Amino acid sequence: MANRICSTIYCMVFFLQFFLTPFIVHSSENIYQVGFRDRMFAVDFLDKREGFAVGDAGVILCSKNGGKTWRQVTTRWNHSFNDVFFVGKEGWIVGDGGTILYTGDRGRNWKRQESDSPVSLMAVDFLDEKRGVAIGQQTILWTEDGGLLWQSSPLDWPTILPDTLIESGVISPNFYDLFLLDETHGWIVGDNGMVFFSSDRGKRWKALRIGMYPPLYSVFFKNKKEGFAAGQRGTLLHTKDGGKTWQNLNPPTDKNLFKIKMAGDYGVVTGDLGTILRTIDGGKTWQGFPLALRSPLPWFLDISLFVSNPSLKVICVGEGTIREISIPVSSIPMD
Amino acid sequence: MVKKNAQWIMDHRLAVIGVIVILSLLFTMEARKLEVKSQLNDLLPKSHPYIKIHRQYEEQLGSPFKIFLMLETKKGNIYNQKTLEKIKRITDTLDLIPGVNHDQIYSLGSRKIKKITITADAIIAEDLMKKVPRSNKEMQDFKKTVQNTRGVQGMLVSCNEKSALFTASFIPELVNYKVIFREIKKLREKESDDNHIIYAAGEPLLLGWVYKYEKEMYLIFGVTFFVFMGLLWYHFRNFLGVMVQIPPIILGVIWFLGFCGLLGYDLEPLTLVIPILIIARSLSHSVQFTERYFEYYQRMKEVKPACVEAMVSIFPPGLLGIVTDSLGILLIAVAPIPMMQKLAYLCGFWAFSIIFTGLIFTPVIISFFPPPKNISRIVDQKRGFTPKILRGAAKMGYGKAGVVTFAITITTAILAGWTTLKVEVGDIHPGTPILWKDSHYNIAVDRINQNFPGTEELYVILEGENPKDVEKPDFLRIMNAFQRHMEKNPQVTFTLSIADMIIPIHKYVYGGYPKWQTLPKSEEEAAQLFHLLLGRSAPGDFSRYVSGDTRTANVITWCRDHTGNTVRSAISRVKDFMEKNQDLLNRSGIKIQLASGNIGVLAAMNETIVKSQFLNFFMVMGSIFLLSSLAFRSTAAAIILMVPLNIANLITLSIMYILGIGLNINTLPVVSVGVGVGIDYGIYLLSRICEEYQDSGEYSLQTATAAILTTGKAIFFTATSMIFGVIIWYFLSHLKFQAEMGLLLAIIMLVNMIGALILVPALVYIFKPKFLGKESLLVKKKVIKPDTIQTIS
Repeated sequence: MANRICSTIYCMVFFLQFFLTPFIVHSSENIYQVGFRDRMFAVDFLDKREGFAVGDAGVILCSKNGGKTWRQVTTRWNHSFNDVFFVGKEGWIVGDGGTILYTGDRGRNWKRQESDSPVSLMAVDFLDEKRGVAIGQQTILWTEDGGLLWQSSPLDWPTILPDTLIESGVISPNFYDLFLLDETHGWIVGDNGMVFFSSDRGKRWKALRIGMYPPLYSVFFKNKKEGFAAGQRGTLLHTKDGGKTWQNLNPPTDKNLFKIKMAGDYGVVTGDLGTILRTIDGGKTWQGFPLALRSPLPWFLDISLFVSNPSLKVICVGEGTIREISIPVSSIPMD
Repeated sequence: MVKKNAQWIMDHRLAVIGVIVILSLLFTMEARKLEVKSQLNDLLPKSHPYIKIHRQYEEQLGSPFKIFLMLETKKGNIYNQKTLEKIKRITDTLDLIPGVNHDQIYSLGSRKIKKITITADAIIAEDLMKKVPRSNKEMQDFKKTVQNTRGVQGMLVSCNEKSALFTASFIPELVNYKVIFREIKKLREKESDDNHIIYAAGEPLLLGWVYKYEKEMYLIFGVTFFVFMGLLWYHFRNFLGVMVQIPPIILGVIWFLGFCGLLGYDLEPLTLVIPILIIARSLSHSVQFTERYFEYYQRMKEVKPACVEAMVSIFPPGLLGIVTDSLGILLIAVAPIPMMQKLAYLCGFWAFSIIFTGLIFTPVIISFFPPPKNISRIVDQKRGFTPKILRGAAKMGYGKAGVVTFAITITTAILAGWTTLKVEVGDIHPGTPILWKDSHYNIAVDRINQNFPGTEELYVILEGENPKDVEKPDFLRIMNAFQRHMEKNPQVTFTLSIADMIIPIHKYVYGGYPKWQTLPKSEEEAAQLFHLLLGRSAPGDFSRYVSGDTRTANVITWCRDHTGNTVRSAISRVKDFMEKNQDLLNRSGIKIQLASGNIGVLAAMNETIVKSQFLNFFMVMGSIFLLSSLAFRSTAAAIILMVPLNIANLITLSIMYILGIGLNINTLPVVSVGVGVGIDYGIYLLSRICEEYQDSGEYSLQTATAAILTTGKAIFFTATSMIFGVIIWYFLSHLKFQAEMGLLLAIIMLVNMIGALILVPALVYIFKPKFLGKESLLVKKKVIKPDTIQTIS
């Protein structure tokens, strides 16, 4: 009797397995393993749980559990996507060939917006659901209707470029990053140490800094006056006058620094070859944060910060990786 | 008619000996040209589409038969002057081995591995390790460069930085395995020390190991021979009985070697097991004759007439056995692999030559000697252990026991058939199945595979329509998508193409910002990047990835291992991509071509083996059916003969599964030659049963026992001596392949013997076919009734 029960159960399990297999396979297939070939360029979270990461070759990933697991959002486009930004349930992705994608439903469906530009757009930022700016190469685009119409800001390079640069053969430097603080304060950084400023939500821009400087890849402002910019070969600049003058903070690294983000007194900078710097005193001092990484060491290109005492949760995206790093904010780990 | 011919041979016996001896002398002359060696290109099925592509691109991509060396440091890592100097030295030494392809040596110190430096206005590709770094700073810089050069870290330097890999290709026509083996051995001895171990693997070295055991193989041959002799002595207990078996074997070997020399073929060291199988057949025929001769002599007491009568009995079934056999071996040639075709012709000829060296020569020799004194003891069927077994066998094939035997056989066949389906084509384990798991070679394979993903390569070629097509952004994008598709397969570790090298340059052109680390978007941009990459390098530096006119590109896919399973799954993954993207590929004018690299070549070999295994099997069965139906004038006879053969074949395959032996280029010939090994047993026994039946007029236990005690005895003796002969290989050989084949062949012969002695009588009992009473070519008309039945009480 016991035998018969056993075999019945066995048979049931056997058939159930066949019945369930499609579902099991389905759910595990959905989890996207980020491989060495995936170059992730940007990440943005709508809230503590839901976020998007974008990258090369049309990869758009979505997480619903604070970045623990990701699944792929398939679209018709296989451009490289350089930045993603969300305001509420609305979001934008920009990429090469002037690509701008828009979602109005928390990233479930994406559709293309016309930018009338063939350039590789590098960054996008919005003040609210309507007003935003996208930049890339030598182009600045702005919109006041959520992207239905993108217009380009006029840039007269011959007057902007100083003679020293023209003499050394620079024709048109590239823009890399953008930061909109409020309606009257916006900054762009790029090649030749460029810092541009706009006080009219991105319609017109004025050069604050340009010259024989290393390129700047990221910019962040705590308020109207105090801000930071990160760039090539350990460049980490600090301004207290809204970007007119900058001091190098001489961080303990000579690697390229690609992103800076701050939350209150805490801040993180990421860069080439696995470089991560952090501050807990509002940016006065920066320390390297060592990570156990396998070579080839990846670059980290974008971060999302979540403050939760006693540590800072950082979702870091980069070359072949999306990882969560927990950075303690009380004691300082040194290498 | 048979009698006339037999009489003629006996009357002209001196002439017959003369002709055979002269032929043998001629063959001896030819045999001197012979060499024992392998041609790696002989392993390739030339007509297979993959191989055609492989041949087309071989010059550009290199031979799939490479050697791999791994230098491992015990303490610390490779970044010290001593180790790096060693790396440089080993690279240079590899370059000096005769037959090496100088453009296909890859290592940290090879000039083929480039460091790409980007300055403000130029991209410079220079040797990664131009000179060995000395100062601490140079060492750190070098380490950094290695870590950041795609295709170096993880491919030439292990991820834990403790080992470095060297690969070298050889030009197939110029390869001498013994020389490579010797040079590598020297290199290993010279460069190994307390802190450095060198592991070596790769097909050319594997063959080197096989040659190393060549002498051992001859030794085992010798042992096998003496075991035969001992058993023959045990059986016959007289000089004539033993002596007369030797000339057919020796003549057979001479004819075979002479034929090899005549055709200019070389002997494959690995297939040297197969001669044992053919010697087994030769022995089977000559022992059958000797037994029968003794039987007749006992009755007739005259040498020559007894010889003639024995020939009349033995010649027709012997001829049928030999012809079907040699045809079966010849049919191995259906596999379009040169090595197997050569083998088929050579061994087919050898098997056929047994007509002269065995069937004709044995009686002629015997007729010259006085009969031994102990004939009555040999013919006596009561004495000794063997008749007891044989009587038991006879009982099992008759009456109710016969039905039970039949039922057991059917069950076994079904079970074995079911297991047979699981036999793997290709290799089953990551290492080589030719050597034991703890052999130096397999340990090296294991260590190298643990540290490097890059020893099992599949090359897939993407062909554009015009020169410079590879430089188009669409082409690069499709190539990239293809690589992503391949890398999703868990059996694939990594892929590399020219696109992967273009991407970082794109980034550096824009000052190192990662968002530019993408494929170029416009044709101008792409062309510019290609120019930067290829323009500054030496010709042939990138030939592994792209053709000189940039019309075709090669995607290298590294697989985890080369087991049959992995090979199949990688190939089907490629086909899957081609199917899913058919429209896109057509639109872009891209043709995806399979395949080269060792995995591509293996895939072609495995696919060919599957196909030819079936074809060969059915053709062999077809020819056996046809010939034996004709000879016995009955299809029932043919079927009765084929049943044991098929069961033996199924059991062989299922035992291969149980032992974990895959069906590959080395095992297939053995299995194919083994298929027919039992056919002569069946034919001899069946014709004897017919004879006995026609004598006594009914099929009874007596009839069966009479046949089994006479002909069956010879079968039992030959089979057991062969089993002892080949099982020696299992215990003595250092080559796992030889050992396993020895075991396998022993089992094949055992099953065939049981099939002939028990199953054939059982089938005759159950079906009582009409052909038993028919006159046919195979059944001698009675002249003298051998007085055998009376001895059974």
